[in-house]
Amino acid sequence: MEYQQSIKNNSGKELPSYNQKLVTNRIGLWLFLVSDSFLFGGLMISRIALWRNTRPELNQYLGLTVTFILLVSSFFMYRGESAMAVGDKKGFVRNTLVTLSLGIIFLIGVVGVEWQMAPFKASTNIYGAIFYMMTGMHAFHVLTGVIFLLVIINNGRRGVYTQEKHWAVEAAAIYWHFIDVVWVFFYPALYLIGILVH
Amino acid sequence: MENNSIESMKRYKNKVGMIVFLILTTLTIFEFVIAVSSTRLIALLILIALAKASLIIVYFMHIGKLFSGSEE
Repeated sequence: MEYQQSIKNNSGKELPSYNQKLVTNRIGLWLFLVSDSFLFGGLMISRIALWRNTRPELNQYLGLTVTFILLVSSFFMYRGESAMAVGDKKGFVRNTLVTLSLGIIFLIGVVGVEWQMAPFKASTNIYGAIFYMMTGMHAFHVLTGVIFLLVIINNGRRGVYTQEKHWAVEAAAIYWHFIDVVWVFFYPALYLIGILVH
Repeated sequence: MENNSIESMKRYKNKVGMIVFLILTTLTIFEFVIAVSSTRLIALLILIALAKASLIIVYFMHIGKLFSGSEE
């Protein structure tokens, strides 16, 4: 397979094969995710230190709904990536489009609805500061994920990816699931844990 | 023959995805119910979050493939 063979450049130097590059790409992506986790970890520590065992009054049903939307989006992203892994390009585009739509709905739910309904501003108190910082930083990552999805959908439609070569699809999927993992911790930290403060 | 194996692989992957998604949904509802009924079960909420994150990392993010040089 050409993907497993090393290729020599003009000066006879052996270049890494696609599969060799895949290993370093994966390690590189995971290292980036670990470094990004420190950012979210710092926000989580701020929440624990400032809110302690309390939480502000937020719309519980909206929190649960946006959490569910993100979970469903992760499911469709998994289906999209799996479709590409078996060479089903139409299935990949279809499922990734659903993921993209759900990501946009999540953003509208948090930034467009929850931010407007929240009983405080970022400058009001520690609840506002932490709430907007955590949801804002997460929403920024969702937005970058949406852009990443747009790129792979566009490339997928043009036939750039194949069953054997689709690293970008895998990277976008892993990044999208990472956003979901972050929310898995942010959701209870913001909405569920602590005594309600009016 | 090859089409059959691709189809069965696709079906298997979809089945795994659906099972993980259903477990994640159940755990999310469970943590919501726990939080609504009591403010003291923080350790349980943390455990549920860790379980959900582990499921996503293992099954959706394929951490097992980290050092593998294959797209499979």
